[in-house]
Amino acid sequence: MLGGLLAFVALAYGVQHLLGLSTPVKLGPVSALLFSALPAFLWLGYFHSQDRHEPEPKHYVFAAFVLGAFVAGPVSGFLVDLATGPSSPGLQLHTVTLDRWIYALAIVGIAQEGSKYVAIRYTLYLSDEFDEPLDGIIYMSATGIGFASYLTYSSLVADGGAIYLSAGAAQAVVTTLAHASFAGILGYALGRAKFANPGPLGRGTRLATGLVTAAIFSGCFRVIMDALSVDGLASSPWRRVVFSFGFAAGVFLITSILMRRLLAISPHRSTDNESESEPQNNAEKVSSQ
Amino acid sequence: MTNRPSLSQRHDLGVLIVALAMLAGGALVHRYRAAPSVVPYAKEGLVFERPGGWLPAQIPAVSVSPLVQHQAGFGVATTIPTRAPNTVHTIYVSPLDARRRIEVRIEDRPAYSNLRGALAVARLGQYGEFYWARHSGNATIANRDWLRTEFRYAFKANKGSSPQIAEAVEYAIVNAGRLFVVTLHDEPDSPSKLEPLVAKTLRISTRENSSQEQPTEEAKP
Repeated sequence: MLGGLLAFVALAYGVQHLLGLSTPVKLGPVSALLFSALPAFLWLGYFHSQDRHEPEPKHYVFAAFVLGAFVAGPVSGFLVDLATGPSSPGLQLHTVTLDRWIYALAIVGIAQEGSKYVAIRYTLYLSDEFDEPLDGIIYMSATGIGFASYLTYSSLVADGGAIYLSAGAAQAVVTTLAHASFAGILGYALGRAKFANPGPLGRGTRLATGLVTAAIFSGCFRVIMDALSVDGLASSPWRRVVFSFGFAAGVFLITSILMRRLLAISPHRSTDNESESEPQNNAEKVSSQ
Repeated sequence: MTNRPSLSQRHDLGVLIVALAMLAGGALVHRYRAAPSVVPYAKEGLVFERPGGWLPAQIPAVSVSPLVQHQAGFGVATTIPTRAPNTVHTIYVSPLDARRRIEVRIEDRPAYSNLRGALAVARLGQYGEFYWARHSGNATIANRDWLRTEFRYAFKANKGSSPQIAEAVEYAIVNAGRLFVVTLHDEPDSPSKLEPLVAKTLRISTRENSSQEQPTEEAKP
């Protein structure tokens, strides 16, 4: 999966240099869809493969992806528009101000992560397939990946699909990783809240903490993306890719550690061990007969 | 016997309330801090607030071109063939986007009583045949009825460039024998950002009162 993601960026880089594309390229709706969906499905495959003990049904994971793309994405956009109102027609420079932090953390972060939370909390969270803490990360990551696909597609279409191919491909990969990781942290809270049985108040506290933590990461990512997309008066897409990748990789590391912790306490782990030892026992029985 | 958790506890509605409270709080603070700076405009009794930090007021050149052109690097040129001596015609342009402009025109009221028709003729003269009104109706602002008209027109960003469509909303009122027209030009195909800011601040007072006011911004040709 990771090789596929690297190949995707390398392919975009190769095409850009082979065709001598020194200016942004306009993508049509179909190519924009492919451009946003390809890294999404590769990341989806990666996160799904981490659910080793009892992999979730693929159609459930795909449903989480769809919820992220078609519910959480539009809802968060609506909430952000509602909260900010008509933007100022005055000067808007890309500087990291207190106002930009408030916008990123309390509006964009909460709206995005809250939409992902609602999309899963009132659907798959209630299903019988959500039967171990790790499922929180798996389903929420899939929602985050769907959400990132929506963001990537929207930005491609809003900009008229004009991007530098290589930087755009890398940014799509990084944005998808970032939103999968933010949602993964919230998914950890969801999984723990459902199965640790801490009582209604404790569950609510865990969920709210997870939501706020994910919103903080999401908001910081937003500030990095906005502040580093320009260098003076020049656009610098690779600078943004590098810094946002560093941030996303850090959050991904945290999500991976949380995932390992949940894998270690998975109730299906013992079943796996038993099923692994079962053939041996059967073989012993056969040999003894 | 165990107590059944309430509906809000079962569905963790508290988490949603916390999230919505944070979103609302953030929105309030953001709107307060990000509110654009405004400066007052006052001339002949017409008062409103416009965004600060824009380019200085300019008087557009007179043009008879049927297709509106950006001229002198700041905006639309009026196509009124001759300008009456007591006519005020001023344009303020955003430094970020020349399509975003506030245009103020103050002149003697039209000779005939059909204000709607007079304004339509004036727009036709200004924007030529590539103009069409979308919607027109009354808008009450501070107990005064303004004639509000949305319209579109074609313009060229530069002399050699291909025509584009621009959108504008015109507010007009007749007061004490004078016609006051405030036109808010904005980006095409996007929600107007100027109208929510400016329209609600439009005020008109009687000429007797306004004669004591000093013009805050005198446009220089």
